[in-house]
Amino acid sequence: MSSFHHAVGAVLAIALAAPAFAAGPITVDTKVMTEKRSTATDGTTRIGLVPVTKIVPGDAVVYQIAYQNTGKQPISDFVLSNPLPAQVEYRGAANGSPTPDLSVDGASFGPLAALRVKTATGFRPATNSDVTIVRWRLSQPVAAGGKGQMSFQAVLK
Amino acid sequence: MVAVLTAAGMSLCAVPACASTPAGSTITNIATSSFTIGAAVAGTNSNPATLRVEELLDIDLRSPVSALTVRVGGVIGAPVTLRNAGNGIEAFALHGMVDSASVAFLGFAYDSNGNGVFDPTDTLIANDGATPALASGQTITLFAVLRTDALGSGTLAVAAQAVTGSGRPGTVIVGKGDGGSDAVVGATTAAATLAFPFSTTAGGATPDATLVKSASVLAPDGSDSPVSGAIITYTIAASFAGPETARTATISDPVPDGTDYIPASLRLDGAALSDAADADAGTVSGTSIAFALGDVVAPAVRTVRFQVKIK
Repeated sequence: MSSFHHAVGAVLAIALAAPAFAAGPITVDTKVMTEKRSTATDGTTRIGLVPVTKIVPGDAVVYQIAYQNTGKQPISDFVLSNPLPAQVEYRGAANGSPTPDLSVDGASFGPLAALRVKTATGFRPATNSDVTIVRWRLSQPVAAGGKGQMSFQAVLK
Repeated sequence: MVAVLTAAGMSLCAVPACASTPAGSTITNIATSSFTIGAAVAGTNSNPATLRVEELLDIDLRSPVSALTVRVGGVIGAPVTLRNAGNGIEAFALHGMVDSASVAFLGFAYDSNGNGVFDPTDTLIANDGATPALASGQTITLFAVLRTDALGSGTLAVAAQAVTGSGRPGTVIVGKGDGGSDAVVGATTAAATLAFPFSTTAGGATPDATLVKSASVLAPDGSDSPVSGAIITYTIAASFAGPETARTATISDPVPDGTDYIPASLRLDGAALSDAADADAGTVSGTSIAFALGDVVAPAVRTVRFQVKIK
């Protein structure tokens, strides 16, 4: 149990170490969702997302990150970044979401296929389990009142 | 949800085999943003989205053997390895049964000394008892202990299930997980059964041994008449057919009524033995003769001899 408490301490430390920006006109809201299958009246199976109520290792989740410009002027160079909790493994972009850039070291970002992990003897191709940060960069400004949502799939280790 | 106990013979799981997120832990996700507004760089963080991890109840039960052969009179331990495949600290209830009267199920033993082999000194767990609490991913070796009473065959069934609960995958046991979490039955149903067909064979702990006793008489007149003063030479041939080694085999015989033992007449396979209770195998105690043969590896024939004189 002691290792578990240390892990929680590390998570909190990361949160506190996040850059202390001035309060701006952007709001960011994070939700953790899970797929729920239901049968529609026409007999087809619908897959919807509902908030996670119970989670155990191996369960798949979808992280939703919604943003909105609540100010009166546009913003530009918008970057939305999600450092992954240590016990969460990246599995891919979620349906309907722009594909994020990924990083295994916090320094270089790109698609998974472009990432390498340093080993004792050189480098190896990165896999989903190596990903530590999921990030989106918007090439267009976000107008006043503008909003959007990014999401990605993950699994609990 | 049970108390932690560690002991010899349990192997703690290796990373990444036990990388499952521990039950009761919380996982917090915070997204960050940065942007330019006018000429200034600014940013903001999201709310923390926090999950509590519930306790998953899962089991992995297996054995390196698929069938058992037990000798009549023998006791064996069928090896079983049990792994806590969940993410919490869990004990597992154990139940064993046999469907044949030829074999008695004695309960379980826990491989206390970690040698992988059933020893009489291994800690016993009574039938319908439970394992010690196992950490997530932890494996212990158990033995289902059988004693064979008669020839026959049948099946030994060994069942184990998480003490917190088991059953249909997805079943929730509210509040019974580690750290105040709920317990959730996993894909394994948190219960498992192994079946071992067994057959029994003759022999076992009482190896087959036969004694053949013969006597020859030598009277003072040189005849074989059993008259007063005649000497009787008794020869006993002990045949050990096995299959097992006879442990601490002893041949004993009384000095017949109406006769006196002739001192220093003991022989074992032709070699003279002293009458005293000492390092050699022969002992004469009052009117009883004994030969302590020690462990006799079968097949073997040991021949002993002593003499008496008719009063």
